[in-house]
Amino acid sequence: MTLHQDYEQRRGSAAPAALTALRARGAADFDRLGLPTPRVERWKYTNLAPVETMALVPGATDPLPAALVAGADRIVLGAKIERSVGALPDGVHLGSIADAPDAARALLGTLASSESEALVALNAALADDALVLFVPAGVAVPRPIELIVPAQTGVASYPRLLVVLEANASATIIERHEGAGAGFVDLTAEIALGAGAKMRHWRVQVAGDARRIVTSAVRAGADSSYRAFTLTLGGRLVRNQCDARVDGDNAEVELDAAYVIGGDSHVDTTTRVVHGALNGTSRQTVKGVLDGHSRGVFQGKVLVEEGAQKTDGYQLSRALLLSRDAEVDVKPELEIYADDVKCSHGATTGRLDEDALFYLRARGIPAQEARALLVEAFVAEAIERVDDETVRAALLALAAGRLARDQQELAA
Amino acid sequence: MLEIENLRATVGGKEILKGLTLTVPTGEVHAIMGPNGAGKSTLSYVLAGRAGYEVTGGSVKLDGVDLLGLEVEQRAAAGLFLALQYPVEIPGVPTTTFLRTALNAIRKGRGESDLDAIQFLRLLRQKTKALGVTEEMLKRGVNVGFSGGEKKRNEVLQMAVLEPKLAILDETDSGLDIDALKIVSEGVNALRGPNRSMLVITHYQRLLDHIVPDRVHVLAQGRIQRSGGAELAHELEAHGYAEFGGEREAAA
Ligand SMILES: Nc1ncnc2c1ncn2[C@@H]1O[C@H](COP(=O)(O)OP(=O)(O)OP(=O)(O)O)[C@@H](O)[C@H]1O
Ligand SMILES: [Mg+2]
Repeated sequence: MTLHQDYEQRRGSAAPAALTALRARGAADFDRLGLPTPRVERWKYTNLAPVETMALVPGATDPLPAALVAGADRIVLGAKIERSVGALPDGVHLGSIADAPDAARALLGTLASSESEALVALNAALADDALVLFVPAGVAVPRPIELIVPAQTGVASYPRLLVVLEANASATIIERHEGAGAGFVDLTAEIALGAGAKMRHWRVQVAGDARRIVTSAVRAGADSSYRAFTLTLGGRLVRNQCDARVDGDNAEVELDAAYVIGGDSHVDTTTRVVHGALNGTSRQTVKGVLDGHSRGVFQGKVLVEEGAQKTDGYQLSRALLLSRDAEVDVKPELEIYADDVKCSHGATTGRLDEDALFYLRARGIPAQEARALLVEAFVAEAIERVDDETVRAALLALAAGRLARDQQELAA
Repeated sequence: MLEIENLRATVGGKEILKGLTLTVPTGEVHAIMGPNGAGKSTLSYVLAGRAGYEVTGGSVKLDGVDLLGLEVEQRAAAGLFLALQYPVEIPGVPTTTFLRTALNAIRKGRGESDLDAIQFLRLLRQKTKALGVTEEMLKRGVNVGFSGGEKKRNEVLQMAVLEPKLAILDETDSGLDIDALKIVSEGVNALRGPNRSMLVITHYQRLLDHIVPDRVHVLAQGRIQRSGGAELAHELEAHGYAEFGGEREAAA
């Protein structure tokens, strides 16, 4: 079955009533848009043609993997929602849209636009449910919540997530994209932060043959803080796209990423940060290590609206190419309609520093180990942006494990 | 013992070493002096095996082992150590990690077991004290944000930890203030011993007042032009290199 056949079959499937309007709108938009081709500017560097022709079969459920961070609550966003969640503070809702508070339900579909983004439309059309995390004003979710997003051979899945943090609420989500199978995942997340809310959003994507399109749409209210970091360790085709809007004064948005890929992996990081309020800060550092025939893409746009004075926007893309056949495309963009702002961007693409390599070897460190040390240092510097020590250690270990695997493959 | 015989090497297609012969017996400290661009650093890089330095003739042996046939790291394992004229900064790799990895690689070559983190830190603490390298510096990326003098001290620290058979110090005195020069010289002198040779490259007599060499060689135009005792350094300080065919290539 192709993606379109699967779509035709699933568009009429049962779903909670709360999703009826979203699904209808999504289907209408997707029928009009179809999958984007490279002629669509935002999809210039990432071709979805192979997704269209993937062989799909009806899915199975996925087991609950062990926690990445000890004691974390875990939810599998697969064909069936599986969960292992401890007691949560009063008023916190972590579950289906069907019984979510009205304040959350009203926001579904209002942040991520299906009108212009086909993958959001496709997700809306086929979402079986939407997982909602709603945190009432002033409440802090005590433990990180791990969301497991599996990819299975022959399965297309359309997980939907809605996070609503009311004023001064806080939560940490660890999104784990698991499964090495040749599946397709089209995830859409909508995240609304009230005044003074704080969200940490860490994401890990394992290596393998999966194709994953992950869209997040973030709205940051006054004095709120949203920080995201994505570590991608492989995947046939991965696109992490984020649309963030600095919607209230003094808000902070940080969207960082690091990826370590080889073979035929294609990893695309596309972001758009719109500053619509005073004194906002947005930071972004994307670091990639590319081996084999892999390809990295970074498209980052910072748009400062008229009146969004004192905006501080920063973007940096750094790529380390380990092979002649690896490639990166980088397109940073600034669009500024306010006059009192500080915005900058930079991009570098390079190879391992030969002088550093010589220095390490001259001290007795074998060439391969020296290379691994340098690559690990490059990635570790990006992971440093994660401001939670436990999560940072877990991500460093995952990255080191991924690099060690490369070493073994080289030695074999 | 280091034995260099009739060594020829080119850099970027240009011949820099033109039949250089030099022997440093075990336990001795020799100094090399010579004008800018004479090929002193080139010699040190050729010995260490840096890419881009092509050997076109001659031989180099360290205790009978042919160095030229070895990879860079194998030369280090064979006992060669080069303190660089311009030490490299390596962001993200803490000096402790770097040094422990290096020491364990070299110990492996010597047939010794790895030091664990605690054993290593004990050893390191003992070596750093004398050289005035702080804990804070050790935590930073290798040489990152170090001043010129701190970088040189870090080179000597590495030498103290790795305990090579042959240490080449390329202008380790440049960039050092008077006190640091004393500290570094004492560090180097502490490492002098019957089983270790040193080749000290310098422009200044000053250093050789602290590290008194057994022999002094003048390298100019790609060859050792003259050798003598410690007093030769004083003579050079007074008269310069004019008698060795001028200061610059122009005279060649
Ligand atoms: N990549 C290169 N291509 C061409 N010539 C080079 C290259 N690298 C070095 N050289 C030349 O080799 C010569 C020797 O340089 P080297 O650094 O060995 O001199 P040195 O004796 O150490 O001088 P100094 O006292 O200034 O440190 C110089 O003339 C230099 O310009
Ligand atoms: Mg030099």
